[in-house]
Amino acid sequence: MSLARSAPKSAPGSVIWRVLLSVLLSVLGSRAVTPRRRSILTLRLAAVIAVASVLAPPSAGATPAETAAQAAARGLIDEAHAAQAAAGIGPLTAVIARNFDIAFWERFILGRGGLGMTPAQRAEFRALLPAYIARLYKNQLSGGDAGKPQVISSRVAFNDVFVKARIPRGAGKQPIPAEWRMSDSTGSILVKDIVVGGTTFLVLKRSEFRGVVKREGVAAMLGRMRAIAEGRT
Amino acid sequence: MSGGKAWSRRRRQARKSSASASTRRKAHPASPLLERIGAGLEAWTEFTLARPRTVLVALLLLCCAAFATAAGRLAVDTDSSRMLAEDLPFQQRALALREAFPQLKESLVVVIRAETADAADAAASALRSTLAARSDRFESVFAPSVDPFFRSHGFLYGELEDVEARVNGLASAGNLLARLRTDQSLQNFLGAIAEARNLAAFSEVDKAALEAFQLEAAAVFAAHARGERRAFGWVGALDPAAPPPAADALASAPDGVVDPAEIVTPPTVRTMLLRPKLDYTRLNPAKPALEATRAAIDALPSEVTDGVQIGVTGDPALRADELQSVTETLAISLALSLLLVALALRAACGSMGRAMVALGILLVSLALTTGAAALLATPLNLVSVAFIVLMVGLGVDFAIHLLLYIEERVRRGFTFSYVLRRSAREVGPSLALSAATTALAFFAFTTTDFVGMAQLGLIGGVGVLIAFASAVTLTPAVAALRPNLLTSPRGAPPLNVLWRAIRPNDPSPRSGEARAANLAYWSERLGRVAPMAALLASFGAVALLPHARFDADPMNLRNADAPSMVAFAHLAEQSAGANGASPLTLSVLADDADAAAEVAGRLERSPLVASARSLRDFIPSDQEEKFELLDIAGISIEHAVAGEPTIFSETTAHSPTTLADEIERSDVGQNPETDPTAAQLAAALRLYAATPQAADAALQADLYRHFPAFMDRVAAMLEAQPVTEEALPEALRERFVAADGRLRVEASPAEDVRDPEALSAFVDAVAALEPRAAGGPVQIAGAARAVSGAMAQATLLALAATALLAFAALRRWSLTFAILAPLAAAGAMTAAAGVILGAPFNYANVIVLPLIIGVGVDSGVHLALRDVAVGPKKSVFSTSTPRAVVYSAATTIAAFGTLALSQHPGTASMGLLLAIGLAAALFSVLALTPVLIRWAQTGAASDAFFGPVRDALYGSRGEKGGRP
Repeated sequence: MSLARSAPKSAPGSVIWRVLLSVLLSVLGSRAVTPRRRSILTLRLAAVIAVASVLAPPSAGATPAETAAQAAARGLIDEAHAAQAAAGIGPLTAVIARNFDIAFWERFILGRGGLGMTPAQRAEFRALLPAYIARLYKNQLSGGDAGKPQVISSRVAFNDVFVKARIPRGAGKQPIPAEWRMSDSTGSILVKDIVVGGTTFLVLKRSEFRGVVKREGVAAMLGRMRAIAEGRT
Repeated sequence: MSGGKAWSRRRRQARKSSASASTRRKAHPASPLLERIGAGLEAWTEFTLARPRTVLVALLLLCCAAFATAAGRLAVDTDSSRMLAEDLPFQQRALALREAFPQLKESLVVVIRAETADAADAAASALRSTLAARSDRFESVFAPSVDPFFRSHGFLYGELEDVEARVNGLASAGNLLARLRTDQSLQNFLGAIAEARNLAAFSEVDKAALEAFQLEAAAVFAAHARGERRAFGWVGALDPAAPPPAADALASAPDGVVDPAEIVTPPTVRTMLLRPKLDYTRLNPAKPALEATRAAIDALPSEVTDGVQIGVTGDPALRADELQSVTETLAISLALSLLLVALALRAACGSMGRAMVALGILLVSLALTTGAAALLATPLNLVSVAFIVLMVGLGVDFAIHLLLYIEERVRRGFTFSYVLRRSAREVGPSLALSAATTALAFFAFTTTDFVGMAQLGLIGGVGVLIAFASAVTLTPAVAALRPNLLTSPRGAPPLNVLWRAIRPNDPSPRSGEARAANLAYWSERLGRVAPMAALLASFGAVALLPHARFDADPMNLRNADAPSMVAFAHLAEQSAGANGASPLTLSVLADDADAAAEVAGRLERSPLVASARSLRDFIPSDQEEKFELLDIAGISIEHAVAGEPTIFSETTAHSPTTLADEIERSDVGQNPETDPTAAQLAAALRLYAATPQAADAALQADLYRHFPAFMDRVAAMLEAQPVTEEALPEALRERFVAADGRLRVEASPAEDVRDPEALSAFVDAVAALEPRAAGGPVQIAGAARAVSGAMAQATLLALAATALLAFAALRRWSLTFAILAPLAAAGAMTAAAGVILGAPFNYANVIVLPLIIGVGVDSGVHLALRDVAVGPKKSVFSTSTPRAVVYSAATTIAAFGTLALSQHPGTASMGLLLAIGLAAALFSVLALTPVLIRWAQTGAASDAFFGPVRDALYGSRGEKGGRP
């Protein structure tokens, strides 16, 4: 069941449980947490949300599902912001790998035919994808020195929750609006897509990869992925 | 010797010879059978002479009865598909298809052709709204391009790759569209392009969408620079799968920039299918719906119809226009025909009295034959309705022969009473024999599968017998009451009357007798070279015969400029080989969905089949992937239709010049080939900026004219749901699912099947895979084969039957051959003329073949018997018979040759080929029949054929004669 469909239209949340959720998500996102532990924590998180939504005064316009998604998005933003400051792309790649539905990204970008990749090429693609996304995230979404993105609202659309944020761009420039598409189709609340200025990353990358493969072939496409993932371009 | 004296001497000789011959011959020179017929006719003439009033009243009553019968029963079926026997296999399949899907034939098709898909859709939408409200005229109105279902789900159709390109293109343009939605100004349009270019520069996406957008913009700016109006085509600009404007021109341009005038878009054609409510009290049951459709088109506002061509086609519209084009010049043609017929009859008969009698006989023959047609062959069809043509040609034939014989004999000094009685015995047998042989020739056509010609054969055969009976009955009856009508002297011919009016002081107007002698003189002179010419022409014609063909495509009979034909041509041009949208498709009926899918799969294997579709094929393939695509891209589409646009770069307000500058500052300025569409846009912007009279307001209006409708269409995509058979529109379902549950598989040709060879190949290819196929192309190909076979069979049968009858009556094969050989030559000459003139036989002009047989047999019998009667020492051309033959054919040519002036190609070809065929029949009979008889008599072919030529060249016979 998808995140949006499972979420009943109920009372809004409050600052109290937003803080609570942030703490819990930080714990969940920690490297020290094993997968089994993370599953348990996720279930507990759901229970806490239910309790909190009853105990705490609801915030205006947000359903529990949206609230959970917002919390997940904030967690990601915070983690990513912290990780990008670290040396190398590794920490951020780990954050991305934990918070993004990488399997879906891979399947969607490559499409049904897998762009005609060999199993080896597919494996390489799969290995490169988190780092590649991490680079994109760092370059385009993290906000960099201008500050981390600010979550401002959320909405339910296309059976998922879109968490809206503003990406600061430095002095004198209007922040860029972006949306984190959060889905729980895997059992966890993960990022399914990122939409910037109405353009979805998934569609953009699917088009780009197809364009490069069409023009130059799979090997060239993997080469560019590798270059970006390694920060060479 | 003066001409006048020579003529007088010949006349005296002729009178003596004729008188002695007539008293010498007790029996008919040809055979005892003809003698008996002559005796019988003589008795009938005596009977009529004794009670002329009774006979005339009886004829009048018969005519009234015939009129009443015709008025009550006679009908015409204009459906050419019913002109072939229903038991033919392809006819049975067509019938089954029509019973299962009657609307396929009854539907009106509105064809909308515009420079852009947006303009075509706007017109379709407006027209759909109007017509859908006319439930009194239409069962259903189906406009696929603007149908709510296809507006939402249309993007799902096609291969996954195409759908992806379409959806990704729209998703990529999400913010651009959002920006334009909120500010529809020229500056914003230019700014949006600038921003799209900037973003694209940082991405490796396929630039097809941006390129199409830039080209379309270039086309609009260039058009406005030229002072023309052109609305921006949003559908084409944002659909990478659509062919971009001027793509070919750009590809071949050396520097990547073409003359802006060459930026043209292939026209878009949209169709609407209207199922009319039929009014069976009308000749065209769909006429009220057709009129409502045309009224609705006329009422469309100019902003919708500017640059848009809208036509109505489909079977009911084509038939209505055909009727219109047939009748358009009918009044002029009829008036001219009447004038020419009157002149021909007056010239033939030599006096107004005889001309009136001939006309009376013709009218009685026509009336009685029409009554007979109503009893024997109603409803008539497009071929058999031409029996009137036959009857004018043949109905007057007997009268002319009889009246000219009487006139000739009276002129030679015999008493009128004697001539009248002897005419039955002397000329009556040849009239009877020609009537019988001609009728038999016509009856031969009743044995064929070509119902149109079979009906015509039946009516023609009966009509010829009626005409003969009318002539031998009415002539003595009128003679008994008003003898002066028949005995009045031969007056000056009409042309002489005209000549005298112009030149009143001309001292040498010729008398009737002098003119007759003059005709004989020229006939004799021409007769010396004509046989060789006829032989040569015949051999030449036979060589061309293999190229003769029957064009069974009813579309080729119609006026290509008629509105419904223009619309049909637009449809055929647009759909030739594309997406299976041809108007000429084949159908196969299948019992269930699996069988239909199996048939479609089999047919699609043929390279000559562009597509084979059943209802299941309207369920988009790969729906899971396509909806997943929409699920992801939908957020961008939603952003386009409802989101707040994001401004990524702070730019100054753009003008055409600043955008052109910006483009040229990029790589494009150095090397246009890096982005030819941008270079093209820059060139168009410069052109526009340099045009002093360019009006920004008009340009702005044209840029956004179709934008709201396009955005509605984009928004509708978000409403798409997985498609099932049940979700398909009913108007579509009923075209593929019959009331009894059977399914139709529709195969479209890969080639343009308006070309007969392509059509034949398509039909053969489909028939090889699926023999049950039915539909227009099978009908055309099957009809061509059936009619060609039927005509060959009927012609051979007619010739054989005529030969047997002629032999039975004449007892001489030589005479029989002399009658029939010229017919074959005439037929070959006519077919060859059709080949040379590019006028193949068709449903309209094919009646020329029986007419040639009718007129040819008729004339041949007259000429042969008269030639035998005058003996070998005299020329048949000194008698009235050749004149009668000439005038008889001239009357028919005069009556129907004017049809060649018609706007309707079928009718025009009928007039043309009739004139040619009759002239050929006349020429062949006059040139060959006497020579063949002479050959039979002397046994020397060289003398028969070359003797006259020798005489003409060297005068070896020593009888050159002098021109009277």
